[in-house]
Amino acid sequence: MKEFPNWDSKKLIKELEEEKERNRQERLRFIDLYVEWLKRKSNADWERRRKTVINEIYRKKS
Amino acid sequence: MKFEYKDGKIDYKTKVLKPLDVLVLRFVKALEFRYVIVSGYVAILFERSRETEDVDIIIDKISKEQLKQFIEKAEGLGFFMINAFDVEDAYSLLYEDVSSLRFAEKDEFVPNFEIKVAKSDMDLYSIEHPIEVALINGPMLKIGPMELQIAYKLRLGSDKDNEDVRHLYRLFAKSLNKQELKYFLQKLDVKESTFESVLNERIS
Repeated sequence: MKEFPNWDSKKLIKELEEEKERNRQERLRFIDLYVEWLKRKSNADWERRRKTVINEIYRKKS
Repeated sequence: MKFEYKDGKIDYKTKVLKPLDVLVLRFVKALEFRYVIVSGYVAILFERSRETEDVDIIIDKISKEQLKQFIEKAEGLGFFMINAFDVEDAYSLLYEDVSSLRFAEKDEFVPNFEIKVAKSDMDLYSIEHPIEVALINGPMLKIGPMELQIAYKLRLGSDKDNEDVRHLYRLFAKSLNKQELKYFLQKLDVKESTFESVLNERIS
């Protein structure tokens, strides 16, 4: 008989809900970043602006 | 499609690789530590007919030096970090922001690989109980335990998650450890009625 992990259901669900919220925020930030990339005229232009854009989107908590 | 799931291993050497599979096989070469692929790509690997913009990967907690080597290796394989600009930034994203680090092929944004460090009990269990999938002419891919993924997706409960569950459950029903699945469903507080409405059957 396989031994199942001894999980605390309440803790597990709390972790899962927190992760869901983090994932939601991350997906929204990714969409912002993707749109910024799409707006660049070229990859060279994107490379020049990349650090600034990442800082703006990922360091400014939404 | 023909595959065999037994003792934590899936032999799927008959699989015809699609471009996304080839990309995944290339990317996992950079992962020189424990990892598991979870969520949508697992269903896609087993021929679920949908696309995805990201492949979710849970990795072990790694040091900054390991992270540096991983980034260098991924870059050497033709990938770049989408949402971090150097190792320090990537480390901070993974450990301080508890967020994910994304990689894509150079000059592309999608599909991308979304890397997360194992944190929750579920992540750690997945890392410790991977399923090894053997594909033809390729290295082994490691995916999260099927029973946990099904329970987790049922808990998330979006249309996309439910459809992935139905696909995986129908494919793997005979090989799944039902007691284990039942245990995960109970721990994640997934109602029997949810299971029945998605799968049109009772958990036996």
